[in-house]
Formats: sequence, structure tokens, C-alpha cells
Amino acid sequence: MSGHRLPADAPRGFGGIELDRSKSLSFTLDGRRIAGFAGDTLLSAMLANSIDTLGRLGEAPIGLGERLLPPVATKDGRLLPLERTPLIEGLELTAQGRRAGPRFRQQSSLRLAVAQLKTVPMAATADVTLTADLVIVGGGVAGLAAAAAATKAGRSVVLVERRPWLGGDARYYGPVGEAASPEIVVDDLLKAIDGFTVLTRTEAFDIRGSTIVAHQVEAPAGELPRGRIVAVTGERLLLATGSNQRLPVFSGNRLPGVRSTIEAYHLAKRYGVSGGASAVVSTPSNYGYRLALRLHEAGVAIRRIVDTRVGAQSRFIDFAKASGLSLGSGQVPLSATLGRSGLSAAFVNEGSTRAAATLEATQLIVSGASQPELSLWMLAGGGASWSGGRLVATGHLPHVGLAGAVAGFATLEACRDSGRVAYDVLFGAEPTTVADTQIDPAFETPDAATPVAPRADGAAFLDAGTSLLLRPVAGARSLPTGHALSIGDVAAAVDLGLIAPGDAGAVAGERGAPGRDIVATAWRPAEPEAGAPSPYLEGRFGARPTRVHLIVDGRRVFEPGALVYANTGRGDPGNAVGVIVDAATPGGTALIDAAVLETMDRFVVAMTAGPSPARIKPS
Amino acid sequence: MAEPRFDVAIVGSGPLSLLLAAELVRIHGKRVARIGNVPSLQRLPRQVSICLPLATRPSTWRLVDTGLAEAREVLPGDGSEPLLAATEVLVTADLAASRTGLDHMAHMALGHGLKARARDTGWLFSRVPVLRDQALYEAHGMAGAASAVTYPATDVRLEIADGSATLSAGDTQIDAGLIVLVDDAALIELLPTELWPEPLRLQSITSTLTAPTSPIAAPVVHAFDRGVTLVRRDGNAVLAIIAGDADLETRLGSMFAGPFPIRRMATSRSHRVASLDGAPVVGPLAAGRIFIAAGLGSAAPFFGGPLARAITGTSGDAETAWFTAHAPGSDRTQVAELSTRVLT
Repeated sequence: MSGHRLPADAPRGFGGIELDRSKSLSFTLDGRRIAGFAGDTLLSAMLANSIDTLGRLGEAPIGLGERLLPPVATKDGRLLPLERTPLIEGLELTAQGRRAGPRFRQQSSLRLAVAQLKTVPMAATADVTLTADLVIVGGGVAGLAAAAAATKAGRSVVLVERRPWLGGDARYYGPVGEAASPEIVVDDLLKAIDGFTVLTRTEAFDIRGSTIVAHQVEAPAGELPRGRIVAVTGERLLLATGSNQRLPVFSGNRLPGVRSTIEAYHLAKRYGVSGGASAVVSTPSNYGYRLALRLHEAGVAIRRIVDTRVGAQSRFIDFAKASGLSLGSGQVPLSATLGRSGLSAAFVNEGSTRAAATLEATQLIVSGASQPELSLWMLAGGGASWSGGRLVATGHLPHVGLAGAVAGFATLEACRDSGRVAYDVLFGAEPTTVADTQIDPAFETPDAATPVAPRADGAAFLDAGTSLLLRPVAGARSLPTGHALSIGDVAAAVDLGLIAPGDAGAVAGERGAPGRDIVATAWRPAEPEAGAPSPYLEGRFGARPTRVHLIVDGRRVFEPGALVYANTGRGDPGNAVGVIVDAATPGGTALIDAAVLETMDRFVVAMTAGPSPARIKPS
Repeated sequence: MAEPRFDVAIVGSGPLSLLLAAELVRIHGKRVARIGNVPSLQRLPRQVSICLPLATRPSTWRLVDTGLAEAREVLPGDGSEPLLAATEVLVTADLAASRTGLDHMAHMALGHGLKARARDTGWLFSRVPVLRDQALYEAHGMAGAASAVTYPATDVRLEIADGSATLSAGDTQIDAGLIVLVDDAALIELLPTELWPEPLRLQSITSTLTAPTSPIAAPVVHAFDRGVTLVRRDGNAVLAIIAGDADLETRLGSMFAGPFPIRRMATSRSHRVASLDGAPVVGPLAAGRIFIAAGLGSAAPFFGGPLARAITGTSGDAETAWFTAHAPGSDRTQVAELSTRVLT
């Protein structure tokens, strides 16, 4: 290994399949020169150069992660996202946000105040508009399969994918049993797609009716990269937005060097980047073993693979044993702390609060259960409910479909088939069943729930995204109400007993898809053409309410709404005999029961400042 | 015929359902079932419970005054803060006719002991009683309500046939002499709209929570003609409750001073029951043994005591007259209160 870059010839492509290592490039960020290769993103190059710290939240150091990054600005003020912008020679960039001071890890940190991060502006107006018969969000196998079915039927397709590549997380999960590999499946789908428009590096952030609104990073050859807002309108919309890996809840879970297994996989596989020379892998899933094996083969020293399950069975576990890797089971991460040479990770046995093992490594790779990425679905008006330990999509939208992991499918084949079936259904066909066949649990133990550790010193976050919500203090019965919540936060709050499972879908809908920013308007209701009637006065002042002009002197004006009393009845509004309905100069017009007017002509008007005598103005 | 297990079954999860249950048990000694859930502390509120009826009729004000005093009796303290607090409410009007009506309502409020000051755009009311709904849901041992048998509002069904009504929750049939639908949600979910009395209408409601922004003019701001209520939250975040769908975004945007854009933290969409003439509809329906309370507005929780008397037939003459005038199917010509044109 060189720095955080894996060897170019690491087995199974872990040297970085996106890279052209013959083309060295560099850019500067905050005056620091950062070297990389053609094919890197700005983020992957930074991580390869050991810049892995975003800054501080209070006193807690926060690591750079795919889901929490500051925008960077070019010299001419263009804002770009680190994770979607390709490395281009000579870029001079500045990280955006308030600096928090160099208290720690100065060389590896952007030194930003995490609570005050800026975001890439998602403007309300589009720079570019496109139309298609079918708009697909997500370039995994489900989205690609739908695109293939649509183009085969002669329909136009625009596919939006936030990452620089297509295929989603299929390579991480791999095939089931003897099924075709993800590489073959993805290649076959790409061959079957003809003439569709694909927008990579494009993150969809809103749905407005039949239009997807997205932020795209464009990098035309020979030009500086730039961001633009793309609005894509389709006859039908298909959301194949996949799933996110939940963040286990333990103290220090967002320290620099703590990373999810899927993120660690893509960094290594796509860019040959690893978080240093050694790793501890904590997993409730068999896929964590496979990642550990690949990193081990690439030269990363795996200190231990710690499974939250007891007695789990998997061929990957067998491979790990055969490779001589150290294994642990029945333990969840309790805490992570920063040391001089990396991280110190403490693990606790199920049911205990005391650390049973402490391991040191340059990185801690963790994973939780997969959570369907439902944000766009809920923005479109779809619902969600808690089922099987996660939030799942509910409801039906006539012009919006779901496919793949976001629709709850797990296997590669099922995701692919669900894309095809979702396309068929969107365009009027009867739905057909999609088989999602898992390997017998006797051979491959199913994933366990997202680990939740006992409390320990240090900041424990509920999710890996921008919400930065901390685990509430002991005894808290709810989350802060004025805080944004991600879908992962909601799922964690259910696990922690802070949200009832029956409320989780509604809470996620409210907090996870809050809607567009509020903009200034000068809206005012139009005055009705005719004078509006006052039904609230019907029957109030007798059968014959009569308008009379009351005065007290030549100056005083009576307030509209002021109650009019007979001389003797002032005090209880129920005793009022009339009300001022119009101001006059002087006095005011009152509505008074005609029967009362037959017996008196002097009154008391209850003004805000106090009672005032009044009499009927002589005609 | 066997006596039903419960005298009254209350369907609803909001504060009025709790206060009504408490009154029926504590004051009237009734056997009460309450079919409701504990509203999630994480959900956005759909209304704010303030004792400031947009009413111009003395009879309505007297009823709410009485209900407020009775609510003070049954609401428990929750330790550090009372469940009934006081707040300032700014009510604004854009239309001339609305301003005149608001002026009238403000003078009624003054006559009933509230403090109010005229502003260019409306009236600022002081020391308005406000019920801390969330704290109420968390409070334990509210006198009387705790004695009601509570069923979770899961799979609640109301079947109406041949002049009788059958209520069930899950697999449990609730055997009650009278079924009271006190929440808008209960009415919407259980009563077919063809059985809704005039002038009730279904109305969309959007609740949205903003990120901290410039302070709003009062802790609660109600823009009558815009159908928008703003509630100040911690750190100058704002909870906005918007009635109706038409021009929703532009009406909302007109309420803030900026700086813009203002980020939203959460949004919830739901429905409520609105009364076209601004006056409640309260009383028994012709179909079955069903009693409804709808269109009570933000002051709904403070109708608990009077409602309990109406249900048990113990109202005095003045209250009886009010309930008769507001009963489903009654002549509405002399009950109208202030009503907004923003309805759907």
C-alpha cells in the first residue's frame, strides 16, 4: 500500500477499476496540493491522501463520508460536490463553511464547523429541461432493466444516476449461489439498451408532479466542471433508488476512519482507496466477511471480523477462517476513539455494558441493516410503514413506480426482474410476480438487525447523513422536534424506542421529505366585488337590527367592533344591544335592535380605552 | 335488552377526547371507553389548542369560558409547568370585511376578560390560555380520563345500518350506549361523507416546520384570510399550519419576513373537518346512537365540560339552547361565526 491507496495490481480489481494510473493529476484544496489519477473523484483523491476529517461538531471530530461533505468552490465561485466531481488537473478549490480551528489532526482535516456546513445550492429553476417517455432515477440493475425494457419497446428514456458509474451496489452484494455475476448482468443490460440518455454524476433531489429535478455535475473535456439543475419530465417515473446501509449506533460512530462496508467497498473497488493499512470489520451480515477477504487480499491487515450474530453460517465465513482471519461473534461495537495511530474500537457482548474486547486499527468498517431509500418516493406523495425492522414503501401513485431494493427486493435477479416488471406495470400491463429467492438460512445465515450499543462516552449518531442527530440522553422519550430527520434517523429512533413502530412511516414522511424551501411572495386575497355579508351578525341584535349614527362629541370616533350597551347593562357582552359596524367622523355607525331604539337614545360604547357615552346623532 | 358495558364510547386521540372522558367519568360517573392512540411526540401538530374562539356570539364565548374553568379543574400539573399556559396570539385580516368581523370578535374577547390591542393588520391578544397538548399526552393520572377503558385506535370500524351503529376496534366490539366522534380524524375515517351534516366540509391541512428564521410577530400568528397559522418553536423555528390546497405555497411564503429561502424541516399533510359558517356542529345524528362534535376549531379542548353535560342531558337552559341551535340538521341562520373563504 502507498498511503491510503491500494496496490494497482490488487486482486479482484481492488486497485481501482475507474483509475488510469498512467495519468497522474492534481488539484489544490484550501491551498493544499492533492495528487490523484485520472478517474478519481475529488473525494477519492482526498481520501487517498489521508484527508479524512471534515471538522468538528462541538468537540467531536467528524469524518468525511459520502453522505456528509461540504461543497467546494472554484475560483470563479462555482460550487461543486466533492463526491460527484471528477478530478481535473489544475483545479483550485476552497472548501465552503466556517472554519472551526485546527485543534486536532490538522493535516488530515478540512477544519470546518460541521454544524454550519453549506450545501450545494439546489435552485428552484432549471438550467436544462428534458423530456422522455420514462424517467428513471437510479442506475443499478433495476433501473437498467427498466431502461432496457423501455428502449426495446421503442420508448424514450432518461436515466439519472448520482454516482459516476452504473450498476449500483450489485457488485457489493454479488450473485446468489450459481447465478450470473453482477458484472455480467450489468454488461448484458447495458448491451440491451439502445439510444437512451444517461446522466451520471446527477443527484435527483425533488419530484414535482411528473418532473424529476436533479443537480448534475458536467465535466466537458477541456473545460472546468460545473453544476447545473436539470428538470426531466416523463410520462412515467420509475424510482430505483436502492437502499442505504444503516449506521450502527455506538459512541464515536462518525469519527474519521469509521466507514460503512458499502462505502469502503466502492472506495476500494472503484478507486483503490482504503482507510489505511489495517481494519477491524464489524458486521451483522455475511457480506462484511467478503469485503474483509477482498481487503485482506489487497494487503490490508484485518485485525478481526466481529459478527453481531452468534453461530452464523456462510461460505464467506468459511473462506475467512480458511484465510486465517481472526473472527469474533455475538458482539456489537460499543465505542470508537481516536488514538495516535488510528482508532481504538471496543466491543461488547450482547446483554453486557462492559467492553469485552478492544482492537486497534487505522479504520473501523461497520454496517447495519439495509434501509430502502424512500425520500423521493415520499416527496412524490407515497407513504411508508414499519415492517420487518425497516421502513418500506406503501401506497400507490399512478405515474410513479418503484423497482429494486427501494421496493424491498434483495437479490440481484429479483432487482433486475422487478425493473422489467415495474416498467410493464407503469405502461399498463398486469403485474407479474418477481421471485426473490434467498439461499437457505441453514447455509447462509440471514442478516441481523442494525447494532445498537449500550451508552458510552462520546457522540453516537443515529445516521450517517447530514441530519447529525445524536442519540438522546438517557431517559429521553422523544427526539428533538425542531431537528431534521433522515429516514435512517427514524429507523434508529424506532430501534431505540423513541418512535412507536406504528408512527414510523408517518414520521418519516413528515421529516424525511419536508418539501421545497419557502420563498418570498406577496400573496394577498382579492377583495370580493360586492360588500361581503356579515352572517355572524344574523340574529344578534333582535329581529329588526337598525343602523344608527352614534356620536358623543364633535371629535371622538368609535372603534368598529365595539359593543354598544344600554346605560344600565354594561359589562357582560351578552347584554350588549348593538355593535359599531363602521367608524364615522365623528362617532360611528351602530347596529342596534329596533325595539331598543324605541325606548332609548343614549348608550355606552365599550371602547378599548374605556366606556364612552353615546347618543343618536340628531338627523 | 341487556345494559351496554359502556355508557359512552369516545372515538378520538386529541386533547378533547381526554378532557371529555375525564368530565364524563369524574363529574357524571359514566362508564366510558376511549378509542384512541397516544399521538406521537415526533409528529407535527395539526392544530394549536388555544382558548381564543373566532366567535362573535356571547353564547359561544360563555360556553368556552365555562369549559376553560372546568378544564383547569381536571387538568393535572405535570411537575415543572402547568399544562395550561398563557401566550400571545396575533390575528390578522387582509380583507376589509374580515377586519370588521375580527374587530367585533376582539371586543367580545375584551368583554370576556382577555387583553387585546389593535394592530395595523389585526389584533394582538395577550394571556390567551394555551393547552400544552404534548405534555397532556405524556401526563399520567388525569382525573377521570385514567378511569376510562382505553382501546388502541387500530382497525376501528363503525357500521351503520337500520338506524343502529356498531363500533369495533380490531377484534373487539365496543358495546356502548352512545358513540361520540370527537376528533376530526374519527369523523373523517368513520363517518361516510354523505352522512355529514351541513355545513361541514373536508379540508386539506398542511403542517410544516421551518428551520430557524427571523422571529415571527407573536408566539402564535393567525392570518385569517390567508388560512395560515404560525407557531413559534424553539430557536425561532416556525410551525406553519396551512388550511386548504389552493395557492398553498404562495400563501405560506407571504407570511415570512425572510431571509429567503427558508428551509423546511418537516411537512405533514392531512385533513380536518371545517364548518362553512364558522360555527360548530355538535349533537346526535339521526343515524344510530352517534354523537358528533365538529368544527370546534382551536378552542376544541375547552368544550369538554359543556359537551359532557350535553351528552348526559344535564345542560342548563343557556347551554341547552346553544346545543339545540348547533345540532346537526338545525336551522343555521343564527349561529354563524367568523368564517374564512380559504376552505379547500
